[in-house]
This record gives sequence, C-alpha cells and structure tokens, in this order.
Amino acid sequence: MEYLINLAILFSIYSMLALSLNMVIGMSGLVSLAQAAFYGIGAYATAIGMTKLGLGFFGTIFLGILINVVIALVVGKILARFQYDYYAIVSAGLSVIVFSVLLNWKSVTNGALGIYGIGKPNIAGYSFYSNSAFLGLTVAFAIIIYILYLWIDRSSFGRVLKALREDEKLTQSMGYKTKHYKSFIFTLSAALSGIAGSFFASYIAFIDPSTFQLKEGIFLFTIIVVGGLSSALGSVVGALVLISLPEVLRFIGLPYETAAQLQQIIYGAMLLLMMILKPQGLFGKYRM
Amino acid sequence: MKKLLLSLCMILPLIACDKTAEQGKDITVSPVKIGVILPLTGTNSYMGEQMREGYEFVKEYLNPAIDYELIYFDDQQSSSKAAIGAKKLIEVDKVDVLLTGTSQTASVVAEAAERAKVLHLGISSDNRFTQKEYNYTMAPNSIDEASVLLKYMQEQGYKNIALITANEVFADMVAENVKNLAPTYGMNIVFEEKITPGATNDYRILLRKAEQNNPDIYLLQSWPPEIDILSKQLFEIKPNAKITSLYSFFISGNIDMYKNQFCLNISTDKTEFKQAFEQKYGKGLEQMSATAFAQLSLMLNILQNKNHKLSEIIKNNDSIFGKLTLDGRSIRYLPVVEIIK
Repeated sequence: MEYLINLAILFSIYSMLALSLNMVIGMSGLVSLAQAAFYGIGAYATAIGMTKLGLGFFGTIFLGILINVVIALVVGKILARFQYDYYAIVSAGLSVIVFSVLLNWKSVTNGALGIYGIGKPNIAGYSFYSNSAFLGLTVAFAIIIYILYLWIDRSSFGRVLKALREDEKLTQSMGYKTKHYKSFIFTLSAALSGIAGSFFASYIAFIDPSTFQLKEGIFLFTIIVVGGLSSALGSVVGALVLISLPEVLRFIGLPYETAAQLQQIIYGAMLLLMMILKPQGLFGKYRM
Repeated sequence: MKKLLLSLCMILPLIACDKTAEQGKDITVSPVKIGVILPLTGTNSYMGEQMREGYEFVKEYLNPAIDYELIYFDDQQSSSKAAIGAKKLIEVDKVDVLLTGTSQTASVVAEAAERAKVLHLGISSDNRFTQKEYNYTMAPNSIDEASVLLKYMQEQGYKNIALITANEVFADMVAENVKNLAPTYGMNIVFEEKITPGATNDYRILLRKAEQNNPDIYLLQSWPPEIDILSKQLFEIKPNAKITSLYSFFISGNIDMYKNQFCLNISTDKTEFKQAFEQKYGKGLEQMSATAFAQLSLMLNILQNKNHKLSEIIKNNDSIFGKLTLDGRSIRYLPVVEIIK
C-alpha cells in the first residue's frame, strides 16, 4: 500500500508539472523547455527555506513562487520575442543556466552535495509526516491546479492564448498585445511548477541539482505529448502513464541479468507505438 | 516469513543501537531478502554493473551459511526512482535489509529505511544520511582518503598540484579536503578548475591553462567517461604528465591508459580473491565490484551474528579491505595508494 501511495504522490507532483507546462505549450503553443528550471527553483526554495531559514513548508511555497515569478517575468519578456524552435532553444538555455547556478552557488545550494533533511509540511500542529496525509495534501494542490487550468482554458484569456497559438499575427491584428499574454502564462506556469518543486523536495527529503537538468524538462514535455496537448485530462493521464508504466514493467518476469535493460527497451517501444497510433496524444486537442 | 520479519524488526534496531540483542532469534526461515538499489541503466550503469558482479561473486566465493536472495531495483541514478525503489523493495518484495550503491541513492533511501525500520547499508563517503537510525555507510573517511594520497605525493617529492575535479558529490569532497590538507603536507594548489560532466568533451583549453601553472602533478577527479577523456587529452598535450586520482582509474574500463601512474585504491591485498574474480569475469577486479563484495559480505555477517554487538561484528569481520572500524554509524577502512602496472 505504501508503495502505491508513494507512486500516487509522485504522480500528483508530475500532474502539477504537466498541467503547468501544458498551459504554455498546449494552450499557448510556446515550446518551453524551462520547466525543470522552475521546478528546481521551487524545490530549492523549500529545501533552503526549511533547513537554513527555519521557514515552514507553506512559507517556502510562497518563497518559491515569488522567486519564480520574478525570474519568469524577466525571462518571459525576453522569450516573448521568440516563437517556435527559437522559443524552445532560449527556454532550454534558461534550464541550463539554472542548473549551473544550483551546481555552483555552493554557499547557498550546497552544490553537488545537495541539501539533506528537508522536513514535511505542518499546519497548526498537524504534521503531514505520514505518506497518506502527504498524499492528501499533494492531491489537493493538484486538483486546485487542474481546476485553474480548466478555468483559464474556458476563459476569454484562454481563448486569446489559443488564438495566438494558431496565428499570432492575426491575434495581434485584432488588438491583443500577445507579448503580455505570452509573458503572463509563462509566469503563471513557472509559479505552479515551483509549487510542484516544493512538494517534491519535501517528499524526497534530499535534493541535488542532478534532478533538475534539461532532461527533466524533456521528460515533462514527453508527458504532455503522450497525454495530449492542450488538455488538462491529457496532462494527468500522461503523467499517470509515464510514471506508472516503468513500475508496471518491473513486475514482468524478465531474466534478472537483463531485466533493467529490457524494461527500458519495452518502455521506449511502447511510447513509440503510442505516438505512431495516436500522434496527437491520448487526449490531445492540438497537434504540433 | 512473518516470524522472520517480526524478529528482524525487533532485532535490527538493537543492532543499530549497538546493543546486545540477547532475545534475538536465529534466522532459520529462508531466504533472507536483500534489496539492492543500483543504477543498472543510464549514464552510471557501468558502476551498477560492476557492483552487481561484486554482489553475485559473494555467493560463489564465500558460499555463506545464510540463505539469501538479492532483489535488484534499477534507479537510473534518479532521486524519484530511488524513493519509489525503496518503497517497492520494502512493501512489495518485503526485503529484510537494503543495500545502496551511490551517495544520492543512499540519501533518498535513508528516510524510507528509517520509517520501515529496515537496516540500510550504503557505501557513500558522504555520511549525512547516517544521522537517521537504521542507516549505515561503509566507506573510507574522506579526510583519510585525501591524507593517504597527499602523504604519498609528499614522499614522492611532488610540490605543486593542478586540481581538476568534476561537479559531483565525491569529487567535491575530494577537492575540499585536498585544498584544506595540501599545506599540511607542504604542497600548493597551483591550479584549480571544476568540470561539469557531460557539458563538453573538449578539455584541451582547460588543460593548457593548467599546464601554464607548471604543476608537478595533476589530480583529476571524475568518473568515466570524463576521467578517460581528460587523461587522454592531457597526454596529448603533455605525454609525460604525472596524474593521480582517487579510485577513478580503477573504475575506468581503460586501465592500460594509466600505466605507471598511481591512484588511491581500496586495500584489497588478497591475491586469491583477486585471481578468483579474474577467473570468473575474465577481467581485473574493479573497485566497485570489490566494494559491493565487501558491503554484502558485511551485511551477511551482521545477519548471521545478530546476537552480537555491531562493534564486535565489525572488529571480527574478515573484510577484503582489511581492518574495519566503527565511527558512529560509519564503518571505515583505510585505502592505499597503488601504482598501476
């Protein structure tokens, strides 16, 4: 049971990340690979806040959001000038920069050694130390982000985002300042990724920069492509598939000498097959 | 099996606290399940595979009296997968004890081991995770490692060191300790630079900069493939360069490249053991294989002698590393400097 609870915690965290990324890529058509950076900043805000500054978990969530918002506002302004592949390349650059900072700013982040002993959330004396309580809290935040996604998706703001995804010039000609829209959704997505990062840090109790590399951003991108772009349900299902599939494969009776390698091959083949049969993803409303 | 688990749950905390577990029950129900979390795929899979060979070799070489089963979990050197791995092994496979192969994994697994009251033995020099009960590490003290190497370098007459280290846990600790201890041994760090594994494959400019500072010796600390790339490019620039490292030459698959250089190594002076390993795997004993062998051997020893104090078990343990000592929850041994022939 504990094993399933732990899988569910990870699934909830990745659902938050996928939903926040789908706001940028699916809803707005901006191919961002910077998500791992904001995820990492959120995680480090919690790790440093709880272990060095003596803040509570929820205080560190706000700290992470604040830092992410400031960075995303600055970077978002720059990114708003770009489209398509260029957007992806510049956003990937941010991911690399943040990883380097986490690795090299040792006085604050402890460098490659990482930060150990991150605590669990606590509200008015109630501790979320048990995994089931922690899962409840994580799911609650994931649901809030899910509702927020649907609300934006159905709002006039969301419709403008989808319009700029289809044709930015046409949207501009209708009087919308698309740069502001792009910057806002990027900032919101960054803030939400920071929340996921805070939960991850508290759950895992130890973080180091290796978790927040560009490849993590690519993994998140894979989640929403498999689940379906521009779909809240797709984000959640994508996270479920990519988190649970490798675990399901562990229960196939493969020869133990090559089990790990065969699992990777089967995992890759299944993803490939899924993309051939369902190129728009499982619940995708938009195809890149 | 339930009885076994129950008895282990009662006994292991006592062992962990280094108290005599007089009420302890011999393990009569077989087999004891040992969970092992390693990177078996991905960038660091070479380490995981070397370790697996070491674990597998225990049964063949020692033929232990205790019946045990190893259950592997591939964490791909990922924190989230290691956390899931610990839970799967504890909850689904119902392992009795846990072994981990890297610092990162040990740090993540520590909490799950403590919550489930399962004894966990890592091999990390970074012993912060042993603050938690039930968590032990078996590794040389990182200050001892640097001291042994620096002492040897001093004896060989080296004065000026160029320190090139990777941005990762072990190399970071090496860099800090070497920098702090070098003056004690009358040595200077004339050049220092960090490399980020995977960021580039061309270190020639960095190495030329290092050469301009006229070091007597280069201390290169990284894991494969970076260590091989760095060394190869250094030899292109300076064919007679003297290089050294802590363990990494022995982990590299290209040991011939390091002929006549010296490197810190584990003190496995048991020729018969080395030969038996070579015979089985058709290659020389690798450092990670030896470490894994010693780690599992010690764990089996603890399980077999659970009525004894841990300090006594450690003291009487016939390790391939020679004498072991207990320092808090860190099990220590002394490394040696070895010239590669």
